[in-house]
Amino acid sequence: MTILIKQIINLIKLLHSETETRPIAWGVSLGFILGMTPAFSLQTILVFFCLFIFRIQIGAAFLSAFFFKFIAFFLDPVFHPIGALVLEAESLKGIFTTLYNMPIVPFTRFYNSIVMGSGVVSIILSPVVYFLTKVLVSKYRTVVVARVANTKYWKLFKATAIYKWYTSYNNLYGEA
Amino acid sequence: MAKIKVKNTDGTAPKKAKGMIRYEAVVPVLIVFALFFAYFKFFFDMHLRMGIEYGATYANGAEVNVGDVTTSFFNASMKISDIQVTNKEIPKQNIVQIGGVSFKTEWDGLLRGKVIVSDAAIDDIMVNTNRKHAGRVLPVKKSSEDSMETLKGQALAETEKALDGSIFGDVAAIAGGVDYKDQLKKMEGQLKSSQFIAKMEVELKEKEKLWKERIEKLPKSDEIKALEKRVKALKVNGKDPIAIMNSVKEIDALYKEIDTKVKAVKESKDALSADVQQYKNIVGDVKNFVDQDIKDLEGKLGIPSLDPKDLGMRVFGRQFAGEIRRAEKYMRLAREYMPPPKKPGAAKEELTPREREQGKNYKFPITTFYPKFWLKRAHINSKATQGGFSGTIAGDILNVTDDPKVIGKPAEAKLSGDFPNSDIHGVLLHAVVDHTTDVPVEKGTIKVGAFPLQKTMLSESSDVTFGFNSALGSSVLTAELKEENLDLKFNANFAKIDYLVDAKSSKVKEILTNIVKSIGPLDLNGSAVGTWKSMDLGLNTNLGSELQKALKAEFDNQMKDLKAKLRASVEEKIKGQKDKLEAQVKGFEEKIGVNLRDKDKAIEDLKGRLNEEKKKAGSKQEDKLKDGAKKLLKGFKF
Repeated sequence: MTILIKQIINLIKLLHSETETRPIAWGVSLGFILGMTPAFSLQTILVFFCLFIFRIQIGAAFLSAFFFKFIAFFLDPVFHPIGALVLEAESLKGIFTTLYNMPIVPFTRFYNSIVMGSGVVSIILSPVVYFLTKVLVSKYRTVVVARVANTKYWKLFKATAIYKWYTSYNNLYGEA
Repeated sequence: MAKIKVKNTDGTAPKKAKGMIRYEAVVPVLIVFALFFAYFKFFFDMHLRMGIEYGATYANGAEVNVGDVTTSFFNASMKISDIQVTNKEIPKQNIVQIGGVSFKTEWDGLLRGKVIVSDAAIDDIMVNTNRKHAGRVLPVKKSSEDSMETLKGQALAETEKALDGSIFGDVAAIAGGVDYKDQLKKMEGQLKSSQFIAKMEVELKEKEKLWKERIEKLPKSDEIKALEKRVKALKVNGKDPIAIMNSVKEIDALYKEIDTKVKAVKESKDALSADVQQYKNIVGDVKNFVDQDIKDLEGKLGIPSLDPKDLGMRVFGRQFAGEIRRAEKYMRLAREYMPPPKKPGAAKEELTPREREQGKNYKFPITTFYPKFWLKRAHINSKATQGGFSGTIAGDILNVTDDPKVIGKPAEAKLSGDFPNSDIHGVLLHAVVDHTTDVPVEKGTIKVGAFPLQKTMLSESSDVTFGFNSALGSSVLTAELKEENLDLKFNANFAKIDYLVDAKSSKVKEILTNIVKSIGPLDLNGSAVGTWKSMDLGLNTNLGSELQKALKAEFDNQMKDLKAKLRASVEEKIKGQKDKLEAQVKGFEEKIGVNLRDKDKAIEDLKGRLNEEKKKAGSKQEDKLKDGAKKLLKGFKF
């Protein structure tokens, strides 16, 4: 739980800093893949492994996964025909048969239409999500943050106990 | 050139850009991996050993010790050494001790979530070895399941009990003279023939009542007389064709009325004949009940049958039924661990994801499929040692799996060996557990070339002691269990027999001594066919034949005389009842039959007379028509 809070604080901090847009974009992008996957499977473990090893913003990944999980629920009717189309493709039958009979690979549950459909869609769209996030974060910094920082409400908020708690927490654990 | 220091807007120095890899996380992960490795290297085997000991102790109900466990992650193998299973009846002994069990699984299977043991070895098996210290025995919990099993085995237990009355004791009783009168007096109220006659008497009375009610519904004599009057009153007018036609119609209507009554009487007559015949047969059945009563009396008086098979069964039957009962217990225990047969059409268990909405699982051709567990081959190798019941055994256990249908091969055990410490030689075992089809079949053959028979008492009563001090035996047993149906056959041969014979009666002792002197090697052929609940046991032995010969020579006349006396006594007891029943049947036939016959005759007569009238009317009508036709032709001057 502490790690998650730390990561969310880091996310807020990163959003408001002048550098480091890539970890957030990677986090959102991988979170997008996580959120789209219907159940816990082998590829989920692979994504977690990447999150842990590479300098990717975990908070952004979790928040994004949480958000896209809801969207994915409504997208299932789209994923199903896409997955079915891929799985029924005559030219891919050979490779799927090989994968089906290989060790470990069946644990990815690739033979399910929704897993395949969501996988294909999320992998294709993840670069789009990545670049879009980068652009949006930059825009947020230049447009929103700069404007909000000059308002009297923000100055008022900076005087509150929550902000002070955030600052002290950040001083203690904030360094990622 | 002077360096320019870059500062952040708040005046602090800018942080150094971090690399792509999260090194600060990699190190803790490596430490965790190192700890895992250290645990598996130094502690896992010990903890696994303790876990096996704990689980096996609870499964066995008494302490199980494991000397050492060695596992290898990379080889996917395990070796368990020195397994000692405490005998819960004798805690100072091991029921079985195994020198080592080792097996190697296939990574290919493990990566598919399946355990495929390609090769296993079980070494140095010993039975009933002494323990260094007494094993801990867990308190016994009597479950309802045990009670159920006890109930299931009751049929065989009853057979065992029924054979408990020793044939030798009966022989002694015959030799001493049998007082049958007392026994007959005791059985007076329980004679099956007497009970049967009493029941039939009541039934016959009920039947008589029913018949009286049925006859009441048939045409009474008044009705028949009225019909007779109507028949007599019928007159066919010979001149008027319309009157003739009306008379014919009237005759037809009356004929139909009488015919209905005739049919009703006829049906009753036929039913009565069937009933009478049935009761006459029942009187004949009394003889069968008398035979049964005599058989019961013979059993109670201990008069042996002189059938060699029966004699053989009574000599060895108790031991045989006991062995079958033990086999049933082990078979039920084994079946608990055998995979249940999968019914055709049953859903195949496979890895399926939880479907989110309408997801569909696609199936591709299976080229490599394993069951969840498959022991391909376990080699058993054991050498005889000085301690316990150990032997030189070699053999294989093949294809033990949770899903035999998938591999399409039955589980098999092929073992051969010798137990020199116990003088048992030439042991061959071949067992097949075939659950590859919907009907499970377990079959096997056990051969023992030579084994010593320890002191075995076949009869141990105050009158007779008969048994073996020692003997040398050999045996072959084949058995097939198809669902609940057992078909077991065995042959045992005993030589070098040292008999143990003693009897209170010198005559019985002489008979038995003469038999054992003349008999030579003892041959025993047995069979058990049927379900566990209803088993047909058969046993044939040359001891039975010899016993029959001796008993026939000695007691045949005495026994024939006794049986004749028994029959005469039983028949005497039921004579009064039997005569009464016969008279009742006769009376029933006469009373009801005569009544019915009279009715039948009267109504048949009426029908005959009416038939004649019908014919007369018909011919008159015909004549009239002919006359009319002639007149008509004359009118036309033909």
